[in-house]
Amino acid sequence: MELNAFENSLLERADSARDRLPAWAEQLATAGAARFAQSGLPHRRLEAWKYTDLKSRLEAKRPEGAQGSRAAFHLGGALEVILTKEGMHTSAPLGEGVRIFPLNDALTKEPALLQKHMGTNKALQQDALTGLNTALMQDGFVLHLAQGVTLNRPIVLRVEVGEGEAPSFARNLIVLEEGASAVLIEDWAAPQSAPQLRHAVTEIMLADKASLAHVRVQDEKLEAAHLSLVAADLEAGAKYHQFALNVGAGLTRSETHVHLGGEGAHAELGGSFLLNGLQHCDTTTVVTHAVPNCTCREVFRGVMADRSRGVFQGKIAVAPHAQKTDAKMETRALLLSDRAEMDAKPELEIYADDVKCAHGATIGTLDEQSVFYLQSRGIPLPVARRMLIGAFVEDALDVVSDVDLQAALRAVIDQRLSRLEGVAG
Amino acid sequence: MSLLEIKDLHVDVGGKEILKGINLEIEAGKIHAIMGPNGSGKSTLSYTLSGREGYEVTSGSILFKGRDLTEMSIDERAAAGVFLAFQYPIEIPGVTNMTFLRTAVNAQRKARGESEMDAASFLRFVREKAAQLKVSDDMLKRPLNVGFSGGEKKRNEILQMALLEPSLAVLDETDSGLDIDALKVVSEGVNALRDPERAMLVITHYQRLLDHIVPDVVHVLANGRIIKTGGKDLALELEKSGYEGLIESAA
Repeated sequence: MELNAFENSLLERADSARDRLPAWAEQLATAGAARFAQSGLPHRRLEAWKYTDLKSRLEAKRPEGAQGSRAAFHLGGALEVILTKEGMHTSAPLGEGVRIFPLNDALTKEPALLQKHMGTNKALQQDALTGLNTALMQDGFVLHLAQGVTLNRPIVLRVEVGEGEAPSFARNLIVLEEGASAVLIEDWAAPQSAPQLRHAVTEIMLADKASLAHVRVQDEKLEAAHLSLVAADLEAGAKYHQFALNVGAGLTRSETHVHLGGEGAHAELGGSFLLNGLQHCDTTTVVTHAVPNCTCREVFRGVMADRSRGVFQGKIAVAPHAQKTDAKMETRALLLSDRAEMDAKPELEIYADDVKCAHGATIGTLDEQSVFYLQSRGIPLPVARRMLIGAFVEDALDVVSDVDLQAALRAVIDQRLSRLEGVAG
Repeated sequence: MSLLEIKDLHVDVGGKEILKGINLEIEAGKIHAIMGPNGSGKSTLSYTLSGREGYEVTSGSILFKGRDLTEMSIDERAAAGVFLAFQYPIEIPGVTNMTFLRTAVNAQRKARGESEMDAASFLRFVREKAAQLKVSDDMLKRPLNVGFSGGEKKRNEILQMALLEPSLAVLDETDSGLDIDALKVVSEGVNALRDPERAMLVITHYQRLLDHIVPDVVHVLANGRIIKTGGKDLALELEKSGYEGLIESAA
């Protein structure tokens, strides 16, 4: 496979960056770089990247212009952690049994923890981009909760790493030991100095009965490409809830793999993408039911204005012996203009015979009768449209059970909606 | 000056002429009823007054408080005092009834240059009006009209009218889908809103609603024109003889 100049420059950078790593990590990095060298950036001839031709899209210029500063995501009572390239700042002590580090610190201070988990997720092992990420990993964080520890308040992690021309490769690791429980919100609201290309890999290990509510808020500048890959491994009785709010970046790939590997594990994935202009946002999920008696729910809502394009690829795979699987996936999209586009590809791959699996995908426009009804009560057209779109998005927020967190997300959503073409005014 | 003055109104829907020269004047404080067979243009008239898209005024005029209504947007008409009670109120999942009501009231207050009501004073305002119409707290908390029975939907329409205090209320087939008890509650709600400053235009197919909401004037609409106007007895006459004889003698 012939690599282009950009791909070669990434590999050169990987070569020179490697010797800063400890020996065990250097091995992973070398293997990762080799994997990337074989296939390069993913492109549309790969089924998983059919609607998002990353290779050519990264070559094309993305639209310029700031995203327009939204009110920062704010959640009262949360513990704030700011991650910069200088290190990490936390607003208050984390408490017994909770540890959080910048990746670079963890590489030297927590080799045992990292060695045990990093790169072990099967979904990542064949992925070329993850290979590149491993070879260039620099920014990122590691969060560890000891057995039975419950975080009594949510952590809001503000990611302010990476800047300028060089692509930023963040590598995150979240490990919750047996029975531990946490709420983590990652806030990716990048300033103008942020990099043009960001790739984040997050590996999550949830031991028996551990529970993680994980929110990603992404509002990067429009020139940026934001590529994220989350891979979660759940053991028996573990629970993983994820909500992904994508409103920024010209190009977004929001990919999640969940491996339900212990009986009684439950995953809930939700998200909402609100796009404008020429924005492109790809949500890809793969949930694997590897053992019996696991459940999953997926609810996504997309709103596309102007010439933007949304993509949803959702796959639920049920292994031959994973009986009594209960899985449900639903995605709905709202097109606010004739030139907006949505591609939805739900897939069920079922090898067991005693399962409940369902999926639904709809793509539509705002209901004219509802708009008229609201307007006839004196509500101006832009407000009426915003109310209806907000109501449409609302269903996805059910994935987030905390009402304060829901309200904080709703505030970002409302602000974003008021800026969409055909809604603003 | 009349509150509403409609002169030689012609309206097209989907390229087809539905209203073919309506003349109608309504004074403040009066209740007018419009009766007519299906397809006569009753709903077209109500949608035209509220400004719904697709109802094109090809000629004639509508003056409301002396202003040209056709020049105003849907929400401007509402803020100016036009209210349409829907025959089939729309269900909107994801927007609670309470949020909807407060947004509507405050939007109109804002449009009129008045200050918006805060949540607490609005709650008191709604509770008082809701009790009169037997609208429960549960109905206020639920998504707008979702899962409401026919009667609940109509009560909710009248609650909106009570909160928005329009000067012209158009009631489009408010009796449809109501049993006798629900009809009574809704009619009482409407009658409580009778006011020397407020006019109502009651659109109905059947006479029975007019036993409860007694009109000052009754018009018969057929084939896009008002073919007869009379007092409240005209409704009783129609109930006996039907529309057909009248339409034939008018033709």
